[in-house]
Amino acid sequence: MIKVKVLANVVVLILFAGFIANTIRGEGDEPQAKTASYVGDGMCTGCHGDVSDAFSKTAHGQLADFQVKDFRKGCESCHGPGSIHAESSNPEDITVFKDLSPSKASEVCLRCHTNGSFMTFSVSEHNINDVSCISCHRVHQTRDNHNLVLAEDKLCLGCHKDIASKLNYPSHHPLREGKMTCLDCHDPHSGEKNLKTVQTPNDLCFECHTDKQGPFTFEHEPVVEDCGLCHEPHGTLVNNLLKKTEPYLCLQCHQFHFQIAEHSDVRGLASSACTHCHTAIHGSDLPSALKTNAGKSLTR
Amino acid sequence: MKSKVFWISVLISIFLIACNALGQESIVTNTDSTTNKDNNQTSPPLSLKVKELSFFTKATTTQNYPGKVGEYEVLDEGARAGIGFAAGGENDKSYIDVQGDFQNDAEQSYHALWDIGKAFKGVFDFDKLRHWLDHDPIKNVNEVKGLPPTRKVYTKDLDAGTDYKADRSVAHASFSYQSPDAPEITGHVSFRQEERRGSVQAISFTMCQTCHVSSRAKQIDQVTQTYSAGVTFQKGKVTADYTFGYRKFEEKAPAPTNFYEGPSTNPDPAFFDTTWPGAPQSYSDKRTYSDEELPYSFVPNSEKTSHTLKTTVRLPHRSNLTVVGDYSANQNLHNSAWLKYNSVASLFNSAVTDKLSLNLKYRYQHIDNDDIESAQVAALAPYLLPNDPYFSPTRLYNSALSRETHKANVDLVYRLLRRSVLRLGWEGDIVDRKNYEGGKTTKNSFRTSVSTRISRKFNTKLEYIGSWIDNPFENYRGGKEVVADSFYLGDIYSTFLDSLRSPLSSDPTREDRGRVRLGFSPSEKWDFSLDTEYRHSRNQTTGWKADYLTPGVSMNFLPSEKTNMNLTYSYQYGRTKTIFSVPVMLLKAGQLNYHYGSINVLIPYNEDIHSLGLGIFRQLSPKLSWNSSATYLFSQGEYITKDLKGHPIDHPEEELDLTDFDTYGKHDYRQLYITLNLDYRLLANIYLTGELGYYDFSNKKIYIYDIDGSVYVANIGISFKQF
Repeated sequence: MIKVKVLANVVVLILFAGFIANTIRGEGDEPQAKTASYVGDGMCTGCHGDVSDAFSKTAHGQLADFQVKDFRKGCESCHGPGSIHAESSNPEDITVFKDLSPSKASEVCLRCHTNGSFMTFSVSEHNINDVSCISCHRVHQTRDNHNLVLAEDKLCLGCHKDIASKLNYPSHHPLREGKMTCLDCHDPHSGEKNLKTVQTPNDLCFECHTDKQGPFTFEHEPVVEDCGLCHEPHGTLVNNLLKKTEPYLCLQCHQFHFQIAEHSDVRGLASSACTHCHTAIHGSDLPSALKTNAGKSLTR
Repeated sequence: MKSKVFWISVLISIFLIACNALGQESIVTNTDSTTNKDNNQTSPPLSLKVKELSFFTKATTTQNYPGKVGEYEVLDEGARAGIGFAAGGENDKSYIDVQGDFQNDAEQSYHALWDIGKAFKGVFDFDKLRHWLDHDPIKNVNEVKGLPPTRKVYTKDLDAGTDYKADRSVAHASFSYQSPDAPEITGHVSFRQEERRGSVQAISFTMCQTCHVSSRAKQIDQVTQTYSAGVTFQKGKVTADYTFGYRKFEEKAPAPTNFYEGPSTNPDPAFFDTTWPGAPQSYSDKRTYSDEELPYSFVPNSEKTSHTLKTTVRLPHRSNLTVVGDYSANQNLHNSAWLKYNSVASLFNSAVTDKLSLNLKYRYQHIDNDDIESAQVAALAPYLLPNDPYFSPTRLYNSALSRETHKANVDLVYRLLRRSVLRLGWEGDIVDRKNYEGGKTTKNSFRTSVSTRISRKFNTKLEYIGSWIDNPFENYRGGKEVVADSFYLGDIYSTFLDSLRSPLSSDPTREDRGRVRLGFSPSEKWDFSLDTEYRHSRNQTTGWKADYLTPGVSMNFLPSEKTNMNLTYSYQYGRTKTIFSVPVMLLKAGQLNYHYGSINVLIPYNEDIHSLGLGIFRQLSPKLSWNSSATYLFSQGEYITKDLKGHPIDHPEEELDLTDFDTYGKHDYRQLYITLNLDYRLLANIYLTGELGYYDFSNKKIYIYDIDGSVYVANIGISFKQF
């Protein structure tokens, strides 16, 4: 335990050392040339009239001054100062997002989008895997649906095709029916495994399935450990999003009742489902069945 | 401990905010480069425009079991009218968008989004659906005729033939306000209310005179209310957010009750008095109740509060540092037990060079759930005698949830080319469960991946993750016993449970995962993709292992602007093996006292799921468009017990045969979903819409109840659309 605490302190110190070093080191780089100057949106409209017209109807195109107090508005807020490009018409003289690496493209957006889940986008799985802001959002189009390229679930499932197939399995959350979306559980901008919780994955499940939270007097250890030990939330063959059918699921961790060997009546009920008797499988406040098992049979 | 962790994160946040003074970048004003040059100019009024208004009639007819073909649908027979709408409006300062549809009282969806003067923003959602729930007929599939009633395991469904379903609604609203006079500060509040009402199956098991399993309907009337309020401060390079959360859960419906027999009598004197001396003593230790009517399937109310503080600092050299502190306390209002959670996390990323970026994460968690021990003592007190010989205090269970965890990640991402990256990562995880005999769980995972989009036509990703786990989560008293000839009957059951056991687990000690993704677009008309993952997991202590292979291919074909086709196929191959540990007792006449150890047999579980999907869109004429989709699933799952037989060491006479145990453990499903949609432009803004759907589900294997069913859906409507 002492070694772990020392290790934890060392890690925190390393993080702070990195922070101090960066604070002292100097300025960061900018994607666009430093010698250009800002010319204003009127200059952009001259050549990019259609895009400029569409942009003016978007949230970005209608920003109030107080929303961007420390930054610039308009085309050059993202594409950089355009004086050289205005003269040369050369795309290399201005920031063109499709020519940027995904992480650099996202950094432009993150200069303004700094609140909420964007606070940790830079360390999110999407950003680390080169999925940038512009992979999903289109800034120049209308503001409907958060400027997404496609409707939410179609967009997610376009890359996560393995999940798309699971949504059709016999037991599933109602995404296929259009009554839930990926964003009910996932935050594409942050979170461990992009889950919408800063606590444990179980706490995310308990947002909707609060009746399973407890804390119960008589708990079932794999339930408090991880809902994912028994359930697969995207879709399963077996009822109730269970990874395997009963009683196989349970017998991976529990031995048989001895009565099953000798008493075919017990075998008849147990071989179809353990939860025929152990109904309070997620935990219970009520003692059950065996006094010498401290009431923890989870049959009530 | 709890307050120490939280206040550490507060101090860290204050430190970071103070350090911001070192790195303020120069402010660029907005004098010339504003799209809307004059923010003080009077804006045109915000008017709401109807974008879409539709009226439709939906009819469904169902055959056989509805729960699989329409688990989340209302499948009442006959036609039902519905309405849909979408409207919106905007000017240069404000925006509003509303949409929704009402199909029936149990199927509704509404959404609103607004931005008033750029300062007041909000979102409102309301969704309601119906959920068909299982009704297990609880047949005792091997019910033995002729046994005396007191030795018979029998079942009774007191609600036979009833459909169980629950209507679930979620209303969510969130607002934020950013004052133009103090733009650094944004306040935010949100409210969420979830309701579940209906009936669900409640099974009760009374074990005393006999094993009697009965089923009734249980009403559910659950309300979960979640409130949050917070403030975000953003200035220069620093953003800090504090959010307070409160959640209340209430089950308003009473729990059902059942009669639970007490420990009064030997259940079958004619049998046990002649074959099992001392049976009354042995049965007394198995009973908790006292011939009383008691509730079961009880759902406790609960309350939870949380505090979350998050601070991010943008650092020079394209770096960011975030610290998150979280504290929550959840109380079960029935047993008064508290569950307390603390965590602090640091996340750091930096562009070390132009090509190399570094990501570091660390999280510490402390969870305290020890209150449940005192709750157990209180719950058992009514059933215990002073110095009760049949109660062992050693059997009280401390929570497996109480723990400290440390988790760290290091990820290096090296940009090989502009759109090609190499990723190397390590994740370490230590879980120290306070009340757990199994010891600390330590997990080390190493990840390497290469992804590239070397051209617009081709992209690929190759990934490997290897994990090594010491002391994975397990049931350390699971079974796999090989010790024989120990007495247990005639002694209390806890002695049997405390005797030497080896662990059983479905968590691995070693896991390998490999993934390949390929995308190929040879032309603007064609697009192909392949996504395959293989995962091998094994527990070297318990013998458990699992292999999963999930290949999938998809094809998109766009021959013209008027036609779009896609075809997908995916396959899930799963093979798991685990030890079935069966204790063998001598339960024959005159000799019920011996436990002969266990037979331990490796039993497989096999899954094969094939999924084929086809979608077509076609603009048949300037006025008529058609789209259709079809999905076919062929899925099988089973465990196989043909080898589940044997005898304990040195006791060949105790041959045990459970080879038929898997009779009701097989699934062989066929699912077919077909939809056809037509959209015809009658007039400039008036459209006729039609939808036909057919869903069919069938199970080809014997099961404890029939789950086959099909549903036909027809939907005809007329809509006004204004783009």
